[in-house]
Amino acid sequence: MKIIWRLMWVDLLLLMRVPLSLFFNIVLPLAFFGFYAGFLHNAKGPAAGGLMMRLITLGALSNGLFGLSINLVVMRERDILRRYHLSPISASHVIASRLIANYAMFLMVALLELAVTQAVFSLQIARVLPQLLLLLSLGYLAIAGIGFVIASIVNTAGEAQVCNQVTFFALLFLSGISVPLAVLPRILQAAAGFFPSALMIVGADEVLLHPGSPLASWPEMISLAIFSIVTFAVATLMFRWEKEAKVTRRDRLRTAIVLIPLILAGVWLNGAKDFMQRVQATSENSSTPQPK
Amino acid sequence: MEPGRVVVEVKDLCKRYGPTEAVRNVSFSIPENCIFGLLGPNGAGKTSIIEMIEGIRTADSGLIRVAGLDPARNGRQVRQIIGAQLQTTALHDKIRIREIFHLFASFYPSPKKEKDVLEWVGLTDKSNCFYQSLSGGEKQRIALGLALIGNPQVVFLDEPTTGLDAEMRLQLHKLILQIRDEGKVVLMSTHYIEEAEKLCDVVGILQLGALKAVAPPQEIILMGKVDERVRVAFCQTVETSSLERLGGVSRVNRENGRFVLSGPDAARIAVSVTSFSEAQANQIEDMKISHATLEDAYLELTGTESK
Repeated sequence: MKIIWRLMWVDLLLLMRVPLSLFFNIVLPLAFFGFYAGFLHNAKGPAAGGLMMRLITLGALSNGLFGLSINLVVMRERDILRRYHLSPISASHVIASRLIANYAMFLMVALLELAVTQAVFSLQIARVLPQLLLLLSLGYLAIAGIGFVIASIVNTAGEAQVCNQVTFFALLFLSGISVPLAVLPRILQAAAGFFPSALMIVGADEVLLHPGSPLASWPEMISLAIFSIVTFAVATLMFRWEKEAKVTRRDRLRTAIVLIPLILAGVWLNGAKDFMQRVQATSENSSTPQPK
Repeated sequence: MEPGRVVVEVKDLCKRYGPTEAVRNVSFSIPENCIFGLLGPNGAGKTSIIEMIEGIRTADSGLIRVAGLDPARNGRQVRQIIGAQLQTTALHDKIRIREIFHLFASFYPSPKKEKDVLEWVGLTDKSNCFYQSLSGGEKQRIALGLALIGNPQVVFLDEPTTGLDAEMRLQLHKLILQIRDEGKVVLMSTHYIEEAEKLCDVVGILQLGALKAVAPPQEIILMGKVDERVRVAFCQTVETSSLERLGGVSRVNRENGRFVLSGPDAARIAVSVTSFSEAQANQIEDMKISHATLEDAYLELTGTESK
């Protein structure tokens, strides 16, 4: 554990010192928060909470895909991982430490946003905070897992940029952050069951709509947990220390096995009789309030 | 450790990169308290051999043991007892020097004190600086310090002085000798012949992935069967043919107005020349004896014309 904590501490220091990391992990989410503050001002109850969850999910996407994933590829490309490889540490040390450091950053921003919302916009989330934090954490882990998988199957930082951009926009548009899920065609609503960002939002809305039910979003939590376990297992197995160790098409196809449990989880979720109702219910939380 | 125990053992090591045979049946062993130098031109296979022993590159075939451990199977255990300096070391730009050593010390079971290592590599006054602000030589010293922070039994130095100025190179030479004097095994690669001759207890000469010779520098010089030379100038004219008949002389050339007498033993040639001078009453104006060097032997063994 000492190795993980020491690596994590250095990762945190570097996150604070490198302007690009600061931008993706703190500035961008807070800038969106400031932008949405006007909407929050006019929103009430679960609707305000729903907007907050979308902002926090956006922060998770930005942190997990751009901050975490690209940073790891850059470390490999610059031979920094190569130097680590000569010391007695394993891939799981590197992955765990980077995950904890970035998660700490994500959590700090999320809690700050929730606290400001609670204080300024009188949003009552204290009762459901534990469930929300559990859901957000599982969601962050699942998104970070995707980021790590991308880092393990690309060869250069340029490739990582492209892959992460495509994934970011797919997860953004099919999650209900930019367009409410309820207004999307039914097939795209069903696709929400396969995307962790959508599951975060559907689950969080369910928690906010049913504050008396502690396990309101258990199907989403299970799906996100499966997502996290599978993606981290693949990322650890596919971890590369050296830029010379190029990933072949065959390796990439092998990595596609990761999709099988994720597809099964999505199918299972879509098979649950109330999933579509839950997706529809997000419309109550995602409808942008009209200015007074 | 018992004295003279073999710490690193390599047997019939082979490595291919596509059609290129980078390492061909390389075998050697290194006892404790020894600086072993791999000497060869760029592309001879030095780095591949070192990285296979470190366990960060897989061998196609052959046997490697480091303190009895197989780096391919017991990678983590091997990396606990080795310290390595890569040809080029990269670290985060925005990390402070003391943070680097603090971090890497935490990776090992019984590391050296960070303060001591910083002092040893002469970077105590730079401990608060960011890595990006250091010069090339200072970064090289960081790399050497990181190779030692884990208090290793075996230290790998891959071309440690390449790109350094003369002063920095001499400082590093001192540090490398100190590592050996601490009882550690050093496996270093270099393409500087004089560096290998000065530092290494045993030298392995590599050419196109194959070891041409493995022995202490003095033995390699003998193996090279390179003639020693006596350069001499006389006060009066001398016929070349009369010098060719002298004992111990196998060849006579003229170079810048001097005779260059070659043979297996320079001392014997010098005695013959002195006797000849006395017998002919022809005084010696200048005489210089050149013994064979590792460079001569290297050129002879590798069939290289000049370096």
